Amino acid sequence: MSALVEIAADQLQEEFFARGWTDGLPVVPPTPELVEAMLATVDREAQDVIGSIPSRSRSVTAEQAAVNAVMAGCRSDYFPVVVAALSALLDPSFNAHAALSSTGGAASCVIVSGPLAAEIGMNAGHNALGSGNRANATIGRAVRLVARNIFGAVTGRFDATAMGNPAKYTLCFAEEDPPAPWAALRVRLGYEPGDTTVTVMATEGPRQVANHLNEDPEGVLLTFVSAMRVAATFAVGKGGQGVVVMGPEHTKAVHQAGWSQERAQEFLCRESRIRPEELEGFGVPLEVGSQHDMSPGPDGRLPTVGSPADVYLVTAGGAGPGWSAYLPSFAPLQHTRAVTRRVRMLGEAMPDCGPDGCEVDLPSVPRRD
Amino acid sequence: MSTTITVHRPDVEDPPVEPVQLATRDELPDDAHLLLVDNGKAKAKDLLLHIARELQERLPIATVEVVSKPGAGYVLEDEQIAGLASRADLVIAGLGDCGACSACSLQDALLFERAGVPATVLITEVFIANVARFADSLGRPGYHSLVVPHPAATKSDEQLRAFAAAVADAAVQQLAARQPAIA
Repeated sequence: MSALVEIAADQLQEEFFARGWTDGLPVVPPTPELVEAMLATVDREAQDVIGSIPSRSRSVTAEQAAVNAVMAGCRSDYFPVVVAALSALLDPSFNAHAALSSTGGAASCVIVSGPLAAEIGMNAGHNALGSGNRANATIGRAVRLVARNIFGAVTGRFDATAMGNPAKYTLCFAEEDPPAPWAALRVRLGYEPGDTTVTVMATEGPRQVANHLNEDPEGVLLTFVSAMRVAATFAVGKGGQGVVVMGPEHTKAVHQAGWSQERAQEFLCRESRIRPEELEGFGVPLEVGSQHDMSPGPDGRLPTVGSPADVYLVTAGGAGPGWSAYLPSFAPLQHTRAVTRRVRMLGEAMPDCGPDGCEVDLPSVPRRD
Repeated sequence: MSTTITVHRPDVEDPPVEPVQLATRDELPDDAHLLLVDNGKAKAKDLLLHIARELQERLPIATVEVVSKPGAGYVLEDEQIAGLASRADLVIAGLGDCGACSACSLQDALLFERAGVPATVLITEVFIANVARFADSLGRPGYHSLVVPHPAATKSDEQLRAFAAAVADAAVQQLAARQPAIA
């Protein structure tokens, strides 16, 4: 059990600030009653380990996650989403050791896809990436507080972030299920429509994509390309991932023209490839003999994203003249990859695999070469 | 009078870690094998090779091998360490010129120490404190390092050669027992 401390009620916030336990904002006091209520929403014992960072010899238990979720301001019914997000963040493919220590200062972008998002009041509409929704704000914040308090992702400790960005406080939003025949992110990743999934990608902060005057699908997608193919982005020319958050007008333009999401992903991947001279023209030399292979492909260009599947195309945001957003991964693919987990509700205990492990049926996932 | 409230601590104590014993610095064989663990950062391999050339003038190093990691943000696997350690007499890992890569190159070096091979980590000066914190957490507080000016990745080959010359004596001290002079 995590340690209990007694603090003067009127000094609690100051004490939490002084001990370095907050992200700079006030917190909800993690009383045993609130932590217990949080834990009661998942089929996990308090001491069950959600995940680990072996290089730091640290793990997070369900109870420690619940303590930080309470502090973040989560309602107890958000907690299954927090657990799924942490489980994804601690998958080795995500490489939390690097993402939480890099000078690049990655945010942890949490995308929730599925019916539970609406049930717990998440926002997928107007201001989806902004402030004002408790679930969006506090689920993302809970993930960051765990990174801080359990895994030492603190400036002056293990977080070497040079610049940082406001999305490091919180970055979480829900997907608006797209119009048929387009499929939601969870379905394209191999899950059932009735499932709720959480995808976590280590990203930069969001950049706005404006195109108010075009309904041509290629025109709209080329505007996204202009937000992706940016020499100042670390992964550009090396091949990373990215989240395309397509707003309603842009979705309509591409959808009504009969484009599939896969066709849009292929277009974005292909058209965002960058000419070496373009990078050099913006003062970015090509790396030679390094971990990043910057040899141009047969088209004479370098990748911005590794493959069409590395474009995480989701629909969200509210009606307007035509706004969307793009979030690039903070680093190329060999350093970090987005990871998805299904949210497990009460009554869905993890299988007891014993000391030797066991076989688990997983949904089929599109093959990534 | 102020009332008190009972709350959970949200953090954890630093976990106990097994101290890393440094490998014994025995006298080197006449045909010592130096392993350079290149983490793939820009200019890392060039700088490591310059240091190797400097060391060959000071130590009986017959062969130099470069192993390049596919990504600087990962630590070598245990099996890789075991295989490489079986043929290496000395190891230099680097270049730690960022947060994740300095932590991972440090850990590579410590894994070689655990495997019985004298090692050190090459970093740039702004990551001294970062590496010190990770060294504490990995069980070897105060672990040595070779420190070059920052940034190194933007420097010419001539400047890298000068950086290598400047840390060569420290590398000898960190890696080797007192050696007989090379004729």
